[in-house]
Amino acid sequence: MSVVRDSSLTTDHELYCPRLLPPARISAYDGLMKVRLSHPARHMELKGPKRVKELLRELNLVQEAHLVIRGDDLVTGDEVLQDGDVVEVRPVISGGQG
Amino acid sequence: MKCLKCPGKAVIDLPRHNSAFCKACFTEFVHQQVARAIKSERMFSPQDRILVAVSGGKDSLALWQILLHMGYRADALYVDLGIPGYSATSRSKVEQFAEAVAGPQGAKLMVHTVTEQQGAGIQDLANFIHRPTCSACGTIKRYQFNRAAVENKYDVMATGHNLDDEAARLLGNVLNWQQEYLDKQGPSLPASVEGFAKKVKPLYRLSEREIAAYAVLHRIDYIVEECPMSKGAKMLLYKDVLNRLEIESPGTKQRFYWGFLEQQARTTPASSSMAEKDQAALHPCTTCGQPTTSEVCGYCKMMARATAKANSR
Ligand code: SF4
Ligand SMILES: [Zn+2]
Ligand SMILES: [Zn+2]
Repeated sequence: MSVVRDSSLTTDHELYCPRLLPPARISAYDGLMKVRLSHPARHMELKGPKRVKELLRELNLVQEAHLVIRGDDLVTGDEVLQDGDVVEVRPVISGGQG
Repeated sequence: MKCLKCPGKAVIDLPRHNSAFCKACFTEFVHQQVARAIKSERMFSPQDRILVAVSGGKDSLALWQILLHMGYRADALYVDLGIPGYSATSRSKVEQFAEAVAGPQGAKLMVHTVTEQQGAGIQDLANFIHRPTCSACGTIKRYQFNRAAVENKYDVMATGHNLDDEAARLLGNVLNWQQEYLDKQGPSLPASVEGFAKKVKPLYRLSEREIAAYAVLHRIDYIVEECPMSKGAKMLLYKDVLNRLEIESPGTKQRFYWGFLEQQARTTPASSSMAEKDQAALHPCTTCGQPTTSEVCGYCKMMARATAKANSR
């Protein structure tokens, strides 16, 4: 999997914590695709171009349980995501009994 | 990917219908599914007053919006359970939606706060009486919604349960052979006795993903975070299993649940006999007057135990 910065476990806090992320590493990745995930909330940066379907497969996520949103727009599985895109992978399944 | 119905660009693919839709055509598809649910299950008519149970999540807010859009008279109730780090956020989502979307269409929002009414948040309460939070939560919500619907003379109470919710619940009920629950798992439960509101689930023909897509496309600002109590809930496991089957064989969830409904329609006695059975077993709770099979209803028993515990501390 082509994760450039292996931040699959970074939380928002860690992403902005200077001790965990040396400044040199931040600037190097500005051009990448920025992906936001939930449950738990975290960010990753990936190298484009990449189809939405591929992205989900690489993240080991099921399409039936997620929506992919680029900017403000919903995108279908065959859409190609590019470097610089801001992407949210949003889980749609809610639990509990209520 | 192109829209199946028009030359526009698709924004969502729907494997179970072997199609993809643009925003306008998808919106039409969603409205059609809800209209079909309302009609085929005889849920309500344009004259009826509907009380929507809202939680701040995608399903209930989308349901409220769709019903208002279709011209129905729909108010809503939110029950604030005082769950730390969750209730405040979900409540503010509901209030914002009511102010920006529902209010201008003449609909109103009621808010019941459990903490105010009972002096304890749901977690304290559940801990007190040694019950899982979700089970205490379910009892409270069912009770509050039913009572509000009956007391304020709504014709019907609507919840945002979707295809995934119903299929997952059905799987759970089948795995444990919960016959009595199976009998009452339809999307439209009549008001069998005085004191019980009619309950309907107009979103039962739409998957969770389809409703989330509707919410995103229509800029409904809902709470994406999960209730912290739902971690490890059985329902999530059942939904995950069903979604894995769905990928291998699109349409599995709807075949499972809709097939069950067809089966049920053929084999179970009409709702009138269910009402008779209920009438024989139910009478008013001696504390609150709501119908119950025992002397004191489950809600009042739970609250009495919680109060006794609190006073003895
Ligand atoms: S997850 Fe449990 S506690 Fe939280 S809202 Fe749902 S039923 Fe209630
Ligand atoms: Zn179209
Ligand atoms: Zn009672």
